[in-house]
Amino acid sequence: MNNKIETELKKIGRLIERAKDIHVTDDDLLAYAEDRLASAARQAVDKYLLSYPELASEILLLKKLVAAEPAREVPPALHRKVISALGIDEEYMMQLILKRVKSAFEIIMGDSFYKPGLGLSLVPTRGTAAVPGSLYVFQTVLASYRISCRLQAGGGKQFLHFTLEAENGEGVKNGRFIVTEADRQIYELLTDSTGTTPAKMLPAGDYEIVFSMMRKNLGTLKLTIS
Amino acid sequence: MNIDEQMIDRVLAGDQASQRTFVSSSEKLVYGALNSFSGLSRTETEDLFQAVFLKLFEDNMRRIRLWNREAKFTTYLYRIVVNLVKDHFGSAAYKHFRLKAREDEDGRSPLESLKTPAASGDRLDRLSLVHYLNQLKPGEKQIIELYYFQDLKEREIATLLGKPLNTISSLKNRTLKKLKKIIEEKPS
Repeated sequence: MNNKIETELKKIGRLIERAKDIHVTDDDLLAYAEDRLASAARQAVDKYLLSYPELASEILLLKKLVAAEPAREVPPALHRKVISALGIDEEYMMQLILKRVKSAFEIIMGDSFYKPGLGLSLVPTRGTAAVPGSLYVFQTVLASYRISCRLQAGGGKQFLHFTLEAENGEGVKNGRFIVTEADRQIYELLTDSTGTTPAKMLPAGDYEIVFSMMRKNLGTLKLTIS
Repeated sequence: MNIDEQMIDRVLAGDQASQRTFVSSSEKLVYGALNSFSGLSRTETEDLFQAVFLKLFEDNMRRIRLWNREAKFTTYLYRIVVNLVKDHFGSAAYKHFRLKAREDEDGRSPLESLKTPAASGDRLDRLSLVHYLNQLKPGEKQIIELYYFQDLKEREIATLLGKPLNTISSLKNRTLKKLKKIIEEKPS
């Protein structure tokens, strides 16, 4: 087997000698990585790369990446960091700013998403441990899903849950809502077969909630409760 | 979503929605490429990830404007990733690459492909050999270059380097064995 390597090394030596006057541009290298060069041009780049082993390694790496195109979902926090660093405004599927006023919310931002007809104003009954107050429903449509963000205010606390419906109104299971505050995950809520997540208590704060289906992030809700 | 010329034009025109889409489309490829390298901590991966996009957008998106539109944008993007990884690792970058290319999936060992090079595989195999040479120590690379590329005899190399002849013979043989081991062990 060593003979095989030695034979190839000698051939490379002869090719390198002939490569001294070859000039190759970065555009040639990109075309080479994509296998777009005509035969003569390709052979010229081959010879050129044999003279420059480090560059040859880089181009080999590049060819492999071009062939495989490995893709991986980016953590939402990292995505937001980059968007922010680039000065690009994040696009939110809903942006809500709410202020607690006794057992209700004052909507500072997000009026356009508010559905008063879907909410309830509940009077606490005697002996009821949980004291649901007013239910506020904010809704949007994203990628053929109807997403409702439901906030209940009562007893000095607020509770959050989501519902997820398909276009035909049927509940959608396994919709994922990840609630984070300052890049720290607080809750991960999953819709059940009725398209409803459990309700969780949410103190005042600044939250981002990423909605995803089948491991694909579809949108982000920004929610501020003061 | 594919990154095409129309998207790039809108990005360069300052359309924020297009810029968001561009970042969302390209970030999966960049993150995937960076995760093809072992030896990067999570922080290093994230730092390099951000560095790619900062490089693209700096100086009024100069690097995006420099894309020649003949190569695919993804190829151009990968070139930037490879350059940044090379800057990070130095010459050891290639040792950290762990992605199996499609050429390797036919089950042939790299040594076998040297035996019967196909029309398209021939040039890739020589490049692969040069790539493996790059993983030798400087003294080992030097002996290969002097003997095989500059066609010097062992005696001439011994004189040039001021070393005994049997040291040079021994080093050359050891280097060939090491090169063979590198080729056999690493698909990339």
